[in-house]
Amino acid sequence: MATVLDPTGAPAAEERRPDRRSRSTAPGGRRRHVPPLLAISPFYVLFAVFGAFPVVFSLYLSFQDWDGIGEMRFVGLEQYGWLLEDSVFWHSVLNTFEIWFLSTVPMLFLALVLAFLLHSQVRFTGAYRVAYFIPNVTSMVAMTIVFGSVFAQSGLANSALRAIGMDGIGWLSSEWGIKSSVSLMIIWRWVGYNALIFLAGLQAIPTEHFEAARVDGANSWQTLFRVVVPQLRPVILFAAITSTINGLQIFTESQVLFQSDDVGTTGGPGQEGMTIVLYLWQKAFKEHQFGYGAAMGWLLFAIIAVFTIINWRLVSGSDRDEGRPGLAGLLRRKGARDGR
Amino acid sequence: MEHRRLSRRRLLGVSLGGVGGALLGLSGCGASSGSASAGTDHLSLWYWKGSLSDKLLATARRGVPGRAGLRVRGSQIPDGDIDSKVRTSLAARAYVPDITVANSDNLATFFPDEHEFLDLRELGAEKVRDRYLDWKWKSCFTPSGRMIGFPLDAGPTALYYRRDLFEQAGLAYEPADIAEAVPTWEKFIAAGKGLRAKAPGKPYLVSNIGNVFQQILLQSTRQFVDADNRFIGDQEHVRRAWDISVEILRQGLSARITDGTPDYNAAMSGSRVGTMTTAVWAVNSLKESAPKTSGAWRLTTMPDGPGNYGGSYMTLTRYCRDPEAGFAFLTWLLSPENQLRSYQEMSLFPTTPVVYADPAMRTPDPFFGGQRPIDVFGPAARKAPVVYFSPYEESANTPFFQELTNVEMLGKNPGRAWRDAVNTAETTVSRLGVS
Amino acid sequence: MAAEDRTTGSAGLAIGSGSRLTRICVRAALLLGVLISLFPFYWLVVLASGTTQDIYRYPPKLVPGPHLLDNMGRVLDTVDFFGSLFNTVVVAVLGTVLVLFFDSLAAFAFAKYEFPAKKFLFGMLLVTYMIPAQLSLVPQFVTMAEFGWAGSLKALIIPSAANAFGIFWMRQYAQNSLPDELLDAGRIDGAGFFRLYWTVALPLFRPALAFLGIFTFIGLWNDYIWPLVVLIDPDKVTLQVALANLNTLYNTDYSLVMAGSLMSVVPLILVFLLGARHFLRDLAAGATKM
Repeated sequence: MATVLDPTGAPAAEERRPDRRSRSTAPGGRRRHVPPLLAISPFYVLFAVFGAFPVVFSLYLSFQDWDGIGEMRFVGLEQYGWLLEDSVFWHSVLNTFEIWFLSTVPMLFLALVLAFLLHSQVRFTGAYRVAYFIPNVTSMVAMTIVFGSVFAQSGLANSALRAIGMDGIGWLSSEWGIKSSVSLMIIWRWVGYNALIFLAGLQAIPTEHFEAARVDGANSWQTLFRVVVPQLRPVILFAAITSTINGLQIFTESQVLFQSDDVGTTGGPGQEGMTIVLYLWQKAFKEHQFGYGAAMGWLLFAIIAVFTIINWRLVSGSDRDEGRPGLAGLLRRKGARDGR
Repeated sequence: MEHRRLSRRRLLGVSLGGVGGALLGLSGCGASSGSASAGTDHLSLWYWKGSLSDKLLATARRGVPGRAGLRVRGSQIPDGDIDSKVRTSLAARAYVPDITVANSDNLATFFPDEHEFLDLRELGAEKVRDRYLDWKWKSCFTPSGRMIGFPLDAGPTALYYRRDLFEQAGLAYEPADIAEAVPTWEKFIAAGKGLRAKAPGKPYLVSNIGNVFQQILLQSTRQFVDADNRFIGDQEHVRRAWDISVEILRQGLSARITDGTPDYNAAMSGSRVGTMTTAVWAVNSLKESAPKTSGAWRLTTMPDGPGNYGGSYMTLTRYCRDPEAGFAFLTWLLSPENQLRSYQEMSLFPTTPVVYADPAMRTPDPFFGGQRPIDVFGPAARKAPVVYFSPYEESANTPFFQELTNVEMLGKNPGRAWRDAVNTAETTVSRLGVS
Repeated sequence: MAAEDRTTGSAGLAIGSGSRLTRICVRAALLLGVLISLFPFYWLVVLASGTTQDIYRYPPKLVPGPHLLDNMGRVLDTVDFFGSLFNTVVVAVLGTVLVLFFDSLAAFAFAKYEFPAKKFLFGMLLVTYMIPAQLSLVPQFVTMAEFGWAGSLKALIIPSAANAFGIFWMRQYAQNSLPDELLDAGRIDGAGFFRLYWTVALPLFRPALAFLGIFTFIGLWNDYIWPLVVLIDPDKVTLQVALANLNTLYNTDYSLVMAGSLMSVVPLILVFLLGARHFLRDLAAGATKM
């Protein structure tokens, strides 16, 4: 998602230019607060009912043994205990991180190179953007089916290998084949999206920086890594954070890719494509262990929270001298520099 | 039943508190009857493709003959998905089908929730009892003595093989000869070696070893959890099935392809696989996935004797809008005459013995080169052992099938895979109260 | 937009000013990227227009075959394609309209008004964005069951009718593009909060609404796990779930599955192409503007 989270919730623009008008013109009395409060209320009501309540309720559920039909049975922390001992769960955690790493690192690198290339291009930029963004628009289910046929034993990928005299690869029947297939699908889907975001960041870099690099005799690669990457750091980190959040929730690829295998619940041979969310779905909605599914949801939340905090720390750590920690601070400074 | 539903709702109502409570009120507590057919003029039926006769369903959609105003509309749910979908709808108490099909090993998984299904004896099931196979009828009952299933079909098994490939490999190739030459799994492996060595294109013996493992298991009356709720998956009968399957792999006789994938279809139509070890109901899907191989297949007795693989049941859920009509539909659809029709159309093997002698059962099938499938499946149905399935069967056997896949696809050490399977299965079922 | 204008200014400064050879290389690389980006769609058309036997032939058939209409016709005979399409359109359109309305309304309030606990409420908004939806897959399902919404499209539309991302994004936009003077002028005319929103703010939000609209629409259209869980009635599902079912039920008939995939992909691509210009411009602006 193309947004940057601001932990303080206070944008720079507002601080620099306090909202005089609303203070001076607002009529007296508490009643004037009613319309804006009313205006923001739909989100909070919906969140209370469909966001906050389920989260709290899932805590309650995680202490129960319940198949959704019969009686609930209170089991205390047993679900969590089982979860910690569940080798499939930890396998799914490992898979998720492996797939996340295999997809995110090449994806961000390719996106950066692509943005750099697009930036140096004058003609057809609009057409390029559309072409590169389309993978992100299409249904993951449909495209997973297509990729599934490409990666099949007798599919296009192996036919291509055969044509150049190589042996076929067990794309969907070996540990790294499965992880690579899933990662390739994610890369294909997200390179263009991130490239366009990087491109926007690139275009915000003042041209003098490029000129200075050129005067110093830097070649293209040096320009990329000495000028572009440092300048784009906030945008890259933003992309890294969103890819992390998305990457830890991989589901569709693994489920649809191995749909013929017990209706997509296994994650393929050796469960090498089993992700955390796929396992949660399998336990909750295939085996109907609602308590177990709820406990797993909480563990997933804890993992994502830890990662988000690490991410924030990483950014703010190098940013303390500026007095405004956080990614948003970084981005805001850049925005201010651009005169926005 | 009712009080349980209320208490759960009250609990949620209280915990939801103000805002949620208001919305709950607004929603009017939703599905009034919970049936998927609420507000329509038909009963709803969930089944999977191939489990019921398409022609009879088309008739029932227009109106069940002999019962004015009764119409039934079927919805297709993927095979492996139907039990969990039914459970999900039961948990939601909404869009529950009036009638549903349940797989043989899935009926037992519903036993712990038996009250979600109607007791068919209360609708007069005993009156038609003498039409059906005795063992099948008995397996419809829960341990507490309620009858929640109704006999659909049986699943006698056979060895499907490619006559042409066997002949080209210089092996015995007529059904009777094979039955004699390949009486055991050991001989089966030996034949596989000959096939791989001498038949053109070096065909594999089987598509994957999971199928063989399954068939050997079904030749035993005991599976993974016994009637006393004890885990017996680590015992000799399972170990033997495991070892034979692994041996097939070790000899390089498995194509190592997952069933139901495009690769599987490609292999079957491309003559890459010489045999199939499965039940009668697989005939239809084989015809669909490999139409070009028509005439080349034959059927013969399974090595070490037949089993009963699958064969399903039908149930009425407690949300069924009209139990009497639902039951009338079952007795019509699964009457001897209609079971005969289903056999002819879909290779669904009747559970009504009276039709076994019918000339229509003896129709030759050109897909099998004019062989009469009943000549193999008929005796198989009589000889197959009656197997006990525990409600926890699936939880207990899943790790074994998965580890076998790991051995086959990823080259995992079979000894380690066996130990892992036993450990995982034991842990899993001990949580479910199996000792 | 500013970002667009600068393109010409800075173009050529990075690497393009190198030799002609460099320029050709860059263009070749970009075209290769486009090919990779678009190839799966081409391949989908090839698969959807062939027969099931064609699909695993070696060497593979690389050009479209003559069976496209045939296969599409069989999809229509096999599944309720238009019913699923209709459901998907209902969810995506209604959901998008609600999101646009609620998000822009809240964004307007956050950007231009003071009220008690504003900072706290806004901070909370951002925290909620970090909670993964899958965390509460089970309790959300149970909640829907209690509401009696399980199996109905309401379960897809209502919970996502307002979201943190949209409010945050629209608020940024409102702060940058909605001059206080305009609001003041409206106030002098005696307009209240909601009239100012409707007559002054909303028209100015149009570009941002276009972006958020397409973004939301795509998200709702492609949502898979939640409809898979909550749409119990097999006869009332969205396109994604219908396609997944088709894939499981008819795995022997691959050209049929491919034709279904193609049919499910085309409508959304058309919607995207119609709005692509606005969308991509605002996507780019959105990423750097905040």
